[in-house]
Amino acid sequence: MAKERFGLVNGPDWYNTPLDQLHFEWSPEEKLELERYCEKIHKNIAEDEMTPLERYWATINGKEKDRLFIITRALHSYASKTLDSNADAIKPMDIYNHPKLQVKEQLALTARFGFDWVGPYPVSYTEECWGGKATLGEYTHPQMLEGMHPVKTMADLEGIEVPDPKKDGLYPGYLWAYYEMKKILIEYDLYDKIVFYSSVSPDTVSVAWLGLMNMNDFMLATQRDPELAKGCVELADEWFIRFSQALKETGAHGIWCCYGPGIFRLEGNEWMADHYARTCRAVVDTDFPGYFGFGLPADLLWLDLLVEKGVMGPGGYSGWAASAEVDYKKLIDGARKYDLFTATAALPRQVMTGPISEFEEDIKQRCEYAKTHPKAAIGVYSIDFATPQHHVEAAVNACKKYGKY
Amino acid sequence: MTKEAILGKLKEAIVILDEKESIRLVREGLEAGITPMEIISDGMNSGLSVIGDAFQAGTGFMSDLVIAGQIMNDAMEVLIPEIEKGGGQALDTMVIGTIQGDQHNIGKRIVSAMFIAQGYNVIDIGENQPASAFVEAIKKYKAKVVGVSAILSPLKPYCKVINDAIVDAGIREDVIYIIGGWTMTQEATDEFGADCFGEDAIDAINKIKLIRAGELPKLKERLAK
Repeated sequence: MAKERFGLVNGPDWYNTPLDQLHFEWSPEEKLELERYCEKIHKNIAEDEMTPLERYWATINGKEKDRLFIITRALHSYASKTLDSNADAIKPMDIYNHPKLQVKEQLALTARFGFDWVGPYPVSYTEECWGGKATLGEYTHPQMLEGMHPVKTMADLEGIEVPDPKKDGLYPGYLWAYYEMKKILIEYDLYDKIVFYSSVSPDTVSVAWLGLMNMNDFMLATQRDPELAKGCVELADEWFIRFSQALKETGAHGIWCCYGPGIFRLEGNEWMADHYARTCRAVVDTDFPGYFGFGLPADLLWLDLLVEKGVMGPGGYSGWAASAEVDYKKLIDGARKYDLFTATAALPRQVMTGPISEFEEDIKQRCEYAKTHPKAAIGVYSIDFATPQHHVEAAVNACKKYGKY
Repeated sequence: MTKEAILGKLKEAIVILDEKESIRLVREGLEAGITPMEIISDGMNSGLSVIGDAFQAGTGFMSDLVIAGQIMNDAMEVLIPEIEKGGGQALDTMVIGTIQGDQHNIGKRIVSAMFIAQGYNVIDIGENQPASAFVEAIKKYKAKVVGVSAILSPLKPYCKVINDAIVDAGIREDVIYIIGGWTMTQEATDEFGADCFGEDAIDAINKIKLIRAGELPKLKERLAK
């Protein structure tokens, strides 16, 4: 029984309740709120020649478009601020525990900043789902309590059950929010206009060292006991495929995964690419594309192998988006070489501190280079908690202005 | 083998992350009469610098730093008793931890590895630590440097709580207080009472070196100007 297996301190009452048994009702006032967010999203869309969804497909397929597609990612620590006038009153913990808040937060965020998509970030990295015990902090995902990772030896892999996102932990609530967002987007005539994106983060290898073993032990295992590391990743693969499939079923227009092969040296760890290929290719197709988001310059060193193994490219993910710290010219040139989707982003620290003119100039340079590749996009992501709202607005507006063809 | 040959091979062993060979060469170096500090600085630090430089340049990998850090820890278990036995100067101690409410540890592990390679005895008190744990560790280990990792932005102000606790304990003058974390700024550093912040592990090491050499002022001196 799931309740005996998993433990989450500070979790919600509905924790471990299967998706088909979760019911949250909207009050008339909340329905009005949702309607108003959707009206504002329509107004934002009307400012451009194309709808975000048209722009997104044009980008994925390398076709002409009015401007660069904008990828955005605001973790719940930032997204929740749109609900409480920046008071730091509503915490990410509240978002994870109350799926209705997640729906409101995401629609409010897109309405406020004119994003090209609605797309929440996962509420967990599976820490509490493999038999360990985790705690939910005010601002954090479930985080494993010290010493509580379930796997230290091969024997520990025996009997570990792969979680079911439709039944276990916080995931049913996360999925409920997706189904609800789709309903709302259809009701207010937005589903075929705004991009509705899902996130399956993190990647399979990361699940292995976040949820099954701790990071230090996993990294050492890749050297000292590769079979143990591989055993963990095999379990994580099953999770990743289940979770991806569950998100696809919600009706999202695509999927993305926060991802980090560049954490590991390529030599000796090539086997990881086989797992990425297996998990990515299991769910995506031409109507449901996917991409990776990564943050380390060393990730670029994995590009050739990932394409060779079919992780990205035909049958696999469409490409990858990098954080601002990654050399955007190398990133875009690499994507061009293999005809992949890609995106670069504004520097989060610069967007946080300003001045606005500095990050506008940086965005301009990135946009100019991105426009040389028809499958490139621009991004405003990893938005820091302390970023003033008018800075986010300015960054998005700069992407729209300099991203125009 | 000559001293240079042993230290050269130790450097290579660290670079290729050969754990067994690294420890074997540490022991061989001691038997050959090489001092522990030479082993640390000319063998281990040289190797870790190669890994660290590659990571900074985007051609090296994070897990290499973590694994190299583990090798350092294992080597220090062999070297510290020799240092103490020989009556040599005890290594300066750095206490490092992640602030209360935050469980992140990757950056902290990298910084720890780099400071070990600089010849510090690094005491990692772990994640989600209250101010009292930092104070206790500083006192217990007579730390010269205290490093605080604060990745989650909303929790960064706790760095000031830690500073205030160190001040209240009467030991603020005895330590260099460095903070680190994604999007940490100089303004925040001054506000929280830290002496400096590290943009990354290399920057952290450089700033601590400069402060200890008197080439970069501690916070108190900066504010007095």
